[in-house]
Amino acid sequence: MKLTDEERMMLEGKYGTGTAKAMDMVVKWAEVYGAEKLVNVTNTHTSPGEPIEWLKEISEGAKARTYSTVHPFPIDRIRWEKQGIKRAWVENMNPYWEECIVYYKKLGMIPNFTCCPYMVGNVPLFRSYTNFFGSEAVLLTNSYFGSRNPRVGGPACLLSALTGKAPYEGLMVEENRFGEILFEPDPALKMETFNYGDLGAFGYYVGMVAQERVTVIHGIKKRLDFEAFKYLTAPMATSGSVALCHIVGTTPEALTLEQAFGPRKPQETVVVGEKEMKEMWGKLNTTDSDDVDLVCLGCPHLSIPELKELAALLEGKKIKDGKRLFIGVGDDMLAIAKKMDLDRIIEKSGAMLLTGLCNGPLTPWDHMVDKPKVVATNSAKAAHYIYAGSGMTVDVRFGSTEDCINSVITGKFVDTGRWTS
Amino acid sequence: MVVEGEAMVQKENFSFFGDVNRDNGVINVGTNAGKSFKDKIFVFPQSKGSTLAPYVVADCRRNRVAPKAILCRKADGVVAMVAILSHIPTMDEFEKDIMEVVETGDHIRVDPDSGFIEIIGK
Repeated sequence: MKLTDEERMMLEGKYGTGTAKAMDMVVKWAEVYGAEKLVNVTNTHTSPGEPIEWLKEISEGAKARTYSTVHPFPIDRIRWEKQGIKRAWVENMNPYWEECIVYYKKLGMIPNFTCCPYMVGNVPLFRSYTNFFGSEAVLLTNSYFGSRNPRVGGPACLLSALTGKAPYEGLMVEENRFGEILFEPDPALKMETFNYGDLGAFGYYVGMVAQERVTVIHGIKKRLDFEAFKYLTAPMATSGSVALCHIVGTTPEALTLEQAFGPRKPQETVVVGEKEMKEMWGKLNTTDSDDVDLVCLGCPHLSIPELKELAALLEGKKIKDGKRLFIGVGDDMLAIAKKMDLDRIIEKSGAMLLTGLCNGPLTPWDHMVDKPKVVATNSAKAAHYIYAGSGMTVDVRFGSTEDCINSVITGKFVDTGRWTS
Repeated sequence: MVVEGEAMVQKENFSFFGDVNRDNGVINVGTNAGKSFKDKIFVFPQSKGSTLAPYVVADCRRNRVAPKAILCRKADGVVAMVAILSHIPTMDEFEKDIMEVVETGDHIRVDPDSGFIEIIGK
């Protein structure tokens, strides 16, 4: 593989021993794929916890060479008591997290602990090279922003942050970015009217069928906004490992169907209809109990338009005693919400705004003071991981934002959706 | 690094986050639900799901419940980083379909440097 002078100097230790170690791993990673060269990465997003010895080694004399942000923790490190996490577990984990944070600050990374860093400054440019951590962030950067982002495990993102490099392979290469499989919504679904829950169920099906393939969706009769895009795509990297999803009429590499496929032909064309939607709805609802203990919203982290929606739904309402509503946002997003008084309206209802945490998928259910039996969510990704991550000990009700919120106001989950037979 | 061990074949695409318990290596879905991949030659078609996988496997390794080697049809970047971070011998893209050739319980020798695996005993 060809290395530039700068890359060779990094490897030889001219930029410190940590950078040299990171570069050595980048080269190994490149060799696995027979990459011909490395490319310059401008933006990265990394995991909030690395194996500490490894982090110590590669931080030695190193610094972030990209615009770099950090993913959320399993819990809200400020409000964990309110969140109901057992003190012993927090006290056991905290020293490790604190130690990691010291390194991130030293390296010049922004420790903002959100899974949606592009909402608060870490914005990938079209056709730039990025390396974002988190299966959904990979999909979003690649698809919605059109930056070139590899789907690679967490540590690789830190390697790119410290070296500013990544191998030129996979989705970094233009010709690998054309569509491989085509999905078309049955027009009878009226996909343009879908709420977040509906979009998630659709995406969950797409991921299951597409697995790792570059996915194209054609036939949605409106341009999807950022929020809709989040709920639709996140589950594609849950039931599958989709890293790039072109949506004709929405994403920048799919202004037309022809552009999305380029020289490739679809290997398969899949029509998604009512039958598939009902099947996914059944999978994501692991119970038919209407007695929901806790509602988890904010997977992925909420935006201002979503917080405005929640404020409108919660204004003047009260969460029933014994019920909980947890809303996951980034710290910076909460700061903006505060400027708009949205926090006051939302929290007056008894709902809790939690920051810096992965709300649902990473929640340490077995370390909660009052572990819920049934959790409701509007996120298909969260629904999947709450059930799997709890070792199938926490059941899930899946539905629209409104149905979730109403379940803790009225005390009864009523599915007003179209997919229960 | 050459390793030998007993194969455990997971027929479904696999997510190291969610599909396995990092304390004991016990898989909770599909073919091997309820069994641990500790010290096995772990075989699956391809990875899916969370990019947390390398950390989960690093935890498994620290808890001494990681697989000895990984074999799959095609290792994506997530599996590659599992291998690089935890030093787990990993091979993919075999001439024959690995999912057809290897069965659970086979005794296997994995030699990544030579590019071959050998089924020593069925």
